[in-house]
Amino acid sequence: MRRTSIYFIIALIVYSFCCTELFAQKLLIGIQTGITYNKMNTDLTDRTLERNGGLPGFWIHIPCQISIKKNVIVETGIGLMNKNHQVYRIGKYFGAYENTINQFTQIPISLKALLWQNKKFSLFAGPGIYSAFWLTSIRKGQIFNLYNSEANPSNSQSELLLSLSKYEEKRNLNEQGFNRFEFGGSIASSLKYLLSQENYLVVDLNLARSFSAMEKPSLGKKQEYNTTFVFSIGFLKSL
Amino acid sequence: MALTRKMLLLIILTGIQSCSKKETVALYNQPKDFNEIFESFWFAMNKNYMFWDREKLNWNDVYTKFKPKFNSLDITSSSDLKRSVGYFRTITDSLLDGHFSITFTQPVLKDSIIYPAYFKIKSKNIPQISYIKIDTAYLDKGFKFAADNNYSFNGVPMFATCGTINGNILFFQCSSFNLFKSYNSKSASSVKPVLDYFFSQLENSVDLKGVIIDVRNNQGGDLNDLNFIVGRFIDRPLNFGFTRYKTGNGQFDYSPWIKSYINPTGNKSLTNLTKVVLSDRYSASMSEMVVFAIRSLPESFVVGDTTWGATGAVLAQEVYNAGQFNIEGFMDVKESSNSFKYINNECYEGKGFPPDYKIISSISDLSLGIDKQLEKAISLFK
Repeated sequence: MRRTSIYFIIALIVYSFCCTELFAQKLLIGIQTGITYNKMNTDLTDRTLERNGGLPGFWIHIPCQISIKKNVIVETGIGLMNKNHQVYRIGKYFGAYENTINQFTQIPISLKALLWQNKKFSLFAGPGIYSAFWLTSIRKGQIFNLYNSEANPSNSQSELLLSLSKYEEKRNLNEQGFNRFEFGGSIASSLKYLLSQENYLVVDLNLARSFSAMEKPSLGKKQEYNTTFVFSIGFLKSL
Repeated sequence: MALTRKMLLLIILTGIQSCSKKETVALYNQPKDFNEIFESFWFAMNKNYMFWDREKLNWNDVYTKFKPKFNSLDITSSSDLKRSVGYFRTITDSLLDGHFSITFTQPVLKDSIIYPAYFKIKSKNIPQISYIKIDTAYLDKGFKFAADNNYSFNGVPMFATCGTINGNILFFQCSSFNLFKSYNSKSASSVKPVLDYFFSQLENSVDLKGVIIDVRNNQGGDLNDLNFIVGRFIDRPLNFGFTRYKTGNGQFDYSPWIKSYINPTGNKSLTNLTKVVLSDRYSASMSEMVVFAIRSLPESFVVGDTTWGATGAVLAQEVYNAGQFNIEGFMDVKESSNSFKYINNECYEGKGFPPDYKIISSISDLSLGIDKQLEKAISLFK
């Protein structure tokens, strides 16, 4: 999958250079910030009364756009993105959960085509890929703690009142086979609003899915992949 | 550590040789051949076993090495069935989990058992001694004794003894831990009178020098008894160690270490009272929890021999998605659902908790009615 991503990046770059001779380039740089909603895709069917859930996070990005044809832009940049997720118990184990707060630095590259335009607005959409590096991970959760129980004298059948105990831990990502480099694909749309001759307000919607698993493959370990929805808003300035 | 919610769960902390609810978590619901049996066993162990981070055994190598061996076995052949037990024994012989055992539900193998910790202790010729008859001779007249036939361990009814030694040392002994259940049952054979005497002496006796709790040859039982007995000595939650659980399917998917507490059940703090726990190689599971808990209090000592080394709890598989499992029609695997480390950050699984005063009982002394471990405990009050 990593090799496919690299080929795709090379193809995009080659395509960009091919187009540059045909059209006067226009470079836009700005800042965008927004919210993410990430969910870990994995198979938990062999874990009793346990489910996967998504969690929100934030995204801050310095985008760089270049028009390579009249109706086509290439967008890249660098940003910080949360890709958080949750695993939680249901049924009689309701209340136990683990939230994982992951921080990535991410470099996306996408190719967007103009779909619609009027005097002020222009709408672009297209596919992209990204590479990311996993910076930090904190897990917070609560679990039923055997050794914080209370006997229940009203019932003699060995019932225990188990209390939920909270925990929080910063994970060492260099241990336990974490895959710190992530590669993935995305599909994105951008709505640009012309504020003045050189300034744009931009609203982006992006859905990204990692091709690489969060942990290195190991026997008996199910693979986990990030799926991230991003909504962001920002400014772009023409240089 | 905050308490946000409490839940009622039917939790049975089994003793070291008892059996509780098992659940199928195997890869194949009903394995048809040895390939499927081995795959089910390997993957369930990979996911459920608690001590991979401490084992010298490389579990991935086990897969590579033993998969071809199991593949060559014929499930319809009695000799191959017996050979498979040998393979399972070789694979699991060095495991640290003191609760780990395999019993076979396959009819040809129903008399086979794999129990590494038990056979390790047996191989050292360490005698399993019942001290009750010897120790009652040390007690003052009027001691209390009761046995509850509703709760037994290896066919032996649970009994409890309480009395004083020299008028001012309180002695309590039980053969297994189902005290809370027995105390609250309506059975005529309840150990309630013994426990009522123990609790009243603890709370009301003004000239008490201290307490001896004897968990020798006590192989565990119900977790409720931890608060029920040790909770009598404290007036605020006692942090006596840390525990962790499995949170995922990987070998090393553990939760962080979480503080372990005992909650008070008495009316006053007895932390300044001298407390001595008697332990031996057959003090296991819940008994070791009692040793840990008492030893973490001030003015406390452990006398006797190192404990068994089964410090986890055995729960239904679904509670933590870890621990014991079965392979339908072939085997039941019993193992810990959590791991525990003592307040000094040391995990004693597989090696046992060492006493402060190591006194080894000899059969010759015991045949003369002399319990040197108890005598050492008594000497600590002088």
